[in-house]
Amino acid sequence: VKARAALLTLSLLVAALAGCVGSRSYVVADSLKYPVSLSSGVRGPDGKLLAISDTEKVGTFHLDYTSCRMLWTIVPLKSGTRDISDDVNEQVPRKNGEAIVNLSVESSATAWNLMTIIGILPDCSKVRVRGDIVARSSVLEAPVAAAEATP
Amino acid sequence: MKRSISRLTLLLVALSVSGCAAMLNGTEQDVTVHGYPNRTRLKMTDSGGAVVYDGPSPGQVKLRRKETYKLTVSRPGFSPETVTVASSTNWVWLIPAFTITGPFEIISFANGSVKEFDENGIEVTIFGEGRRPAGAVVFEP
Repeated sequence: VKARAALLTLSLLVAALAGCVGSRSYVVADSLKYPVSLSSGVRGPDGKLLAISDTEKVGTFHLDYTSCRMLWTIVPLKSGTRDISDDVNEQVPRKNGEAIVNLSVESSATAWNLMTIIGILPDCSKVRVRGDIVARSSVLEAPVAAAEATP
Repeated sequence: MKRSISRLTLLLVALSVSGCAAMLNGTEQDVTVHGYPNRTRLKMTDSGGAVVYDGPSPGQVKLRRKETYKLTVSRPGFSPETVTVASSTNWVWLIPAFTITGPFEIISFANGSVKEFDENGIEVTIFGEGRRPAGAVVFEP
């Protein structure tokens, strides 16, 4: 019985220490005004894929935030789910862009990771969202009146 | 033997008075400069007017950390933009100032080693003539 109890205690201890570092965050975009693509492809107003040569990068979309959770990442404390719609809708028109392509999401460690000993404690991760803001070359180079008429 | 010890001592003294940031960071930084959209031309000058880079985008430049630069981005049919590019202090380099080498860190502050340009590079967007949108952001330092 003693051996079983020791084994159980050891198992619980290992379980408690496992997966104790980091956080978890879901990135959503529920109210976008502009198309966003994880690949280099994006559809034009007619629904057809635009050739890469038809678009030009006009800027970089960037968003950095910190996500915090506790109890083995079960309980969200900060930015458990992050809607990036407002950031996209604000940054794209500031560059005269029409869409975002090559959207990427990366997470990395924070100083919290060093301080968290077991999963029950709060822990945080940095999340970095990047993308290329693009516009059609034809729109960028069009005369002002023609460009304004383009939907 | 005595000469070797003297040289080693001199080297250690020189290193200790150089300042931590000066030793590890250096006084110059490699920076990538992007002009958007495609086919833009970049011209970068230092505060004395000397041309640091004049060519197509993107450009790779070696900038002095304590220097301020002017960057002009242009393309036919687009309104050219000139922005001021400056480094900012990385406060991590303040930590050594509170160690035993603290007094010597003044050298790091004097030669600009504690400063850094944006590690993601410098990015400037220009707009077609008459096409600059409201709230446009050309450059985010």
